[in-house]
Amino acid sequence: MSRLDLEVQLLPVTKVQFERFLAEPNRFDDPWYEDVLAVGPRTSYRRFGDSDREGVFLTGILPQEALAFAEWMGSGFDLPTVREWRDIYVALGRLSSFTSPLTESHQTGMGCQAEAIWRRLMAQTDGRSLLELSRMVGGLIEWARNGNRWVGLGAPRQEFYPNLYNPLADEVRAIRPDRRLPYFGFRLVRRPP
Amino acid sequence: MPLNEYHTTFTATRFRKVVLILDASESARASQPRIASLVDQVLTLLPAGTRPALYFLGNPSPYSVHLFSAHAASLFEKNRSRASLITPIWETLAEDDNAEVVVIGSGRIFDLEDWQGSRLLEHTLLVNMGEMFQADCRLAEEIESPSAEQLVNRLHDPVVQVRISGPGFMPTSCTNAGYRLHIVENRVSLLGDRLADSSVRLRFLGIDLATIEVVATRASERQTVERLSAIPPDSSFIGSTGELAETERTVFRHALRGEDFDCPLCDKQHSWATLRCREGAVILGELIYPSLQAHNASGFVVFIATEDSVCYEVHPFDVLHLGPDRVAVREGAGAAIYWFDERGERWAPSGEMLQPYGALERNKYAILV
Repeated sequence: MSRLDLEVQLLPVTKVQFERFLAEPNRFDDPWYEDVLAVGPRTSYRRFGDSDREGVFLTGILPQEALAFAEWMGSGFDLPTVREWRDIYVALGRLSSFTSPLTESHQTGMGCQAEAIWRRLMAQTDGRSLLELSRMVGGLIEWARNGNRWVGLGAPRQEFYPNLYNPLADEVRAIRPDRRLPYFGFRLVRRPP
Repeated sequence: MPLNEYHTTFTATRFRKVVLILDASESARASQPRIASLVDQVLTLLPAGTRPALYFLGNPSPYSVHLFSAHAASLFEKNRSRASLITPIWETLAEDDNAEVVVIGSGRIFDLEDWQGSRLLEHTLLVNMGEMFQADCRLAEEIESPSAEQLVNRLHDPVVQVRISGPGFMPTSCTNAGYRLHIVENRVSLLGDRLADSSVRLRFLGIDLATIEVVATRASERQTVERLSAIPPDSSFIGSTGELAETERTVFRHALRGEDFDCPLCDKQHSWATLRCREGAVILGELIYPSLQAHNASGFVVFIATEDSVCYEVHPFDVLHLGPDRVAVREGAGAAIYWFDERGERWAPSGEMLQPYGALERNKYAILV
């Protein structure tokens, strides 16, 4: 997103994406992942349907854990600030024409898992606005930084988490920041050096 | 449906490559000594032909199996904090790697469901040494705490028989002498029992290549079905070839006309249908065509006659393609003629036997020696 001078992930972090990190030797071991999956059960990225697609994304994650993943991803990767998240939201909402990466699949270098997820989402999502496809609408509550605090932004669909949130106006604050919440996930941005 | 001629190949692997994937996670920690002991014994018992490979869940890099016995404890420790994920390993194993996968450990594998329906998962055995791998649904076969011998018998499961058959199938050439023709109720198959190598190049008559099955039966009675691969027409199916000498040509032309001839071996007269001269010391007699005798020819011989020469081809296989929908099948000292019943899609004996110098097509004649 050149106008915002940062790169943003097209989708919230998925479980298969995060599992690349888990496969490395680190403190995020089997008992840790069992705790996370107890809050947000896993759905196979090959088989998710309309009713369980949120299971593809990593939820129940705490902000510091998400930051550990961002650091593993490499230089510049981070969670967005509230302002960055909202700017992205507005920018995506304004895009009047949208070309799916799949029409240029030979150039995007999408991994086969990412492509499989994207194809299924496109097939399942009505309307196909980029806000919906990217799950900024109808997805998760996503961690974002507001100064020293962590808040959530997003407008999940009612079947997943009943809410009336307006992401441009409302911040979701976890009463217990150390408690895993089944509708909280995250996406990464990458800031230029 | 009409018959077509196909040139094909089948490559068999007697042993499947064995991939051992160990669980070093916390849930398997209590079972680690038993896992290590089992793996140690299995690696000792497995034949070298299985080319065992060793991995740990979550880690795509294989370890040398020779390291395991001496370094098991440190290998487990190095991989302890990796999550129980199989994708990092399976992504490195090509789908057609002919691998038999065994996962040994305890507790859940998180991403097994992503491989549902894959060939790798079909060839995976989960060996749980404590807690089940699959709590909710069974995607792969799972057994509990087998002995090393039981596990090796599952893994070292060599092919004991290969059967090639299908609608209208009639092999006419085969490069692997270990296979034999098998006809039961006019259904034809090619059978190879306990062959050291089941690979074969095959020429056959059939209706549709895609309907021909290669069924491999293993010692455990497990069967797999594979397909033949088409190859360009292959002249190497023919055995020895050559040209008859002048005296042999004379014999041939007399015999073709049904006339007695002077034997080039004993100088006596023989009946036109004689193929072996028994006047000499050899018990079974020598072939009246010294050229064929020199090749130690056995099987069908096809003569190709022109005005000036007579060439020959030796067809060592038990079946000779005579013409459209007709073959001769060697039965003992003779050859029965079979014809193809298009409606029943099977071969049926005609009741006739191949006579010496039976005509195939223009200027071609066959004998059985």
